[in-house]
Amino acid sequence: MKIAGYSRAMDQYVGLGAGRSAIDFSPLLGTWINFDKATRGTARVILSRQDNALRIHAFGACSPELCDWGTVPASGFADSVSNNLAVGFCAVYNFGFLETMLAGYLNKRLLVVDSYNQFRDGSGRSQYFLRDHFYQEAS
Amino acid sequence: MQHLRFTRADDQPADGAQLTTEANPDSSQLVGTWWSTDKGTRGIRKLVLSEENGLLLVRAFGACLPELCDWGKIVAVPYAANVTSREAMAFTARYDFGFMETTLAVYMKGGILVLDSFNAFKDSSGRCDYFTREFYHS
Repeated sequence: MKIAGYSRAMDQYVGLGAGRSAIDFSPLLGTWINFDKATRGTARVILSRQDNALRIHAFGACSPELCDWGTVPASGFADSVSNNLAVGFCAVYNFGFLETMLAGYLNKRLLVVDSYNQFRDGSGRSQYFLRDHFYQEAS
Repeated sequence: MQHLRFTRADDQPADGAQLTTEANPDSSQLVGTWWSTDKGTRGIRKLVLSEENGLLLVRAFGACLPELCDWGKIVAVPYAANVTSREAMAFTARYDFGFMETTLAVYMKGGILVLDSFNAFKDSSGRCDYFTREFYHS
């Protein structure tokens, strides 16, 4: 039996099938609204499935309207190598002057989204970290 | 005054705030050896953060037997708490093991490091891509 590569005990599992396991994105799907109505960060995220792939459409807190970041691919993650139900996701937005990595995960019925932001425009702004909390909009 | 592009209000410095020409925020409060708060963890047991030539480096160790799995030292990207802060309180790093890619997304809160890892398999082992959340003390 071929031993699969591993970097820590958590990577290891015996008895899985071959090939790639598809992640079930359903716990992540929907529209998520920031709890903080006065947020200056990420105001809303919409997670959707298209052609069996996860996608994210995020909106930043701008005035008078939200800044629409557009839709980009996202990667879904389960909570173990043997369970395919999604609990987290990662996505990268490249705005040209700024690159933002979104790292999100479910905490019970709450979605936590951390954003890691690097400026590329020489504006002198520090690359910075943000943390936002979201609830799911009733469908 | 230079017009600054933004994607959300937090991208914009407060009026009169001083911006800088320094490339990276100061990572000194992150530097050191960090141990998992879970002594029985099956995940990342230890993180060693260091600085060399102005770069932040991370060396992670996975829980393996009989010895920890040494993931090696790679460059990490430090982040401050806002666009005008010069003190790093978070970092990201990406390991490529060949069979798997692991993204580390880490921030400091109350003197503890909170680590989220996003692990994407590239082999055909049938394992699901998975997420972990772990905590570390110095």
